[in-house]
Amino acid sequence: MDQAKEEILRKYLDGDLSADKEQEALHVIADDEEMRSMLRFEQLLTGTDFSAYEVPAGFSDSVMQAIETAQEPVQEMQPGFAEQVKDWFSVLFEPREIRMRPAFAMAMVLLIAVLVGLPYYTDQPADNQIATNNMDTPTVEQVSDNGEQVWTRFVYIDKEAESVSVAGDFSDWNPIELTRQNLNGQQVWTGLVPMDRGEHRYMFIKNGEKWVTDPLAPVQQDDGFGNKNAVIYL
Amino acid sequence: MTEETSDEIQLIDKILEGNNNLYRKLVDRYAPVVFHVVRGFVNDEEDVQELAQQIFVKTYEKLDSFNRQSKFSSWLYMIAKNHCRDYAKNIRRNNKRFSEMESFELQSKMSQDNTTEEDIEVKEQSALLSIALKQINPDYAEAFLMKYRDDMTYKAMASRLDESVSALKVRVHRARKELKDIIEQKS
Repeated sequence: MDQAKEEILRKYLDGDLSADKEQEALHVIADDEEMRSMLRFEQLLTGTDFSAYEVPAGFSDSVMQAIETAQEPVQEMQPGFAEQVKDWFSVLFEPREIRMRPAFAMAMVLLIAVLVGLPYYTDQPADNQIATNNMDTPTVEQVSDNGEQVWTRFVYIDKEAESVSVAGDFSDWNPIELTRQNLNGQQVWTGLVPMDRGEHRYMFIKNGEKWVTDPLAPVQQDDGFGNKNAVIYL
Repeated sequence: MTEETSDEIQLIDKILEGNNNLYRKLVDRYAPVVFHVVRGFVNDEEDVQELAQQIFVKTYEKLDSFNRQSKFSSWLYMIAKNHCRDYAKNIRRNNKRFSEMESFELQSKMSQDNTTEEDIEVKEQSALLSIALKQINPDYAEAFLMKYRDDMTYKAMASRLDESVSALKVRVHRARKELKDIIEQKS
């Protein structure tokens, strides 16, 4: 659009033309596709309700929270710790979601044994519970398989930990914080991590400083610095 | 492919690789578009917010099916519209109150199935305006909003911004042109 036409259009849109000049301008506009297109756009602008764009404060937070919740399917609190644990893990163990290798199945069997044992201690003095639960019980579980990428759930039970993270080659050994779930005073740390198929090494980090080898990992391997990494195959 | 589209595809790739938190950037960027669409269907603000949230959660869940040949904004717009339409259908089926909307209004919105491609394009362009406004020179955007959103006269604008009327007319016109170019690229 040349400058003269641009000026005519601007003046027309701003209502700066006399009636005669406006008629002339309309003829010029009618003959020029670009000017007609600007006029259509002007109609769009004047018909737009700008208040409809307003986004309530905190909206992005609530979306991200909803997404996080959808990814962590934890059952609602039920009376009775045994039922809670059973319900909670039945979610994790839903057959259609999980395809475990035999080695994982062994690790999970061990975990269930420990958890099933817990209700027997619930009537005991608190000290007994702490002694029992001091047995750190970490493990890994494959929860969904999306072609080359596998969502893997890490679970770690530790009553005393202030924070628990998992780090591995899949995160360039940067700690990924696990989320704390409270089940009758039991602290279950859990998190979903996407990983590529293949072999991975990982360790848990307790309270941001203590690196812990997963004792239930079917395969452990020296890391060359005096520690052992757990190894999983997806 | 524009630089912005390619940046957006990279962002989506990173989200799909597991950087879920980056999805917030897309929510921040496109929330005004989604709210604009939803408010075209629903009046009650509580319902508006709930539907908008459902749309973003659904889009997140479907993200791996996003066809990189199309624009994310257009894809999101279609998801939003279909979600609102499904919601309206369900409400009607359940014979419940559909916001404060009169039945004939609902009928007219539902009959959008018969709307032309051109109508859809216009509505999408209108929804995209909020994003385009963030991309143009802030001085132009400010003058533009005073004129079109706040319906101010150039004289009042000149007095508020301590600028000449002619300078503001030029700003508003540049805003129009830049917005049109950006929206046409996006839609």
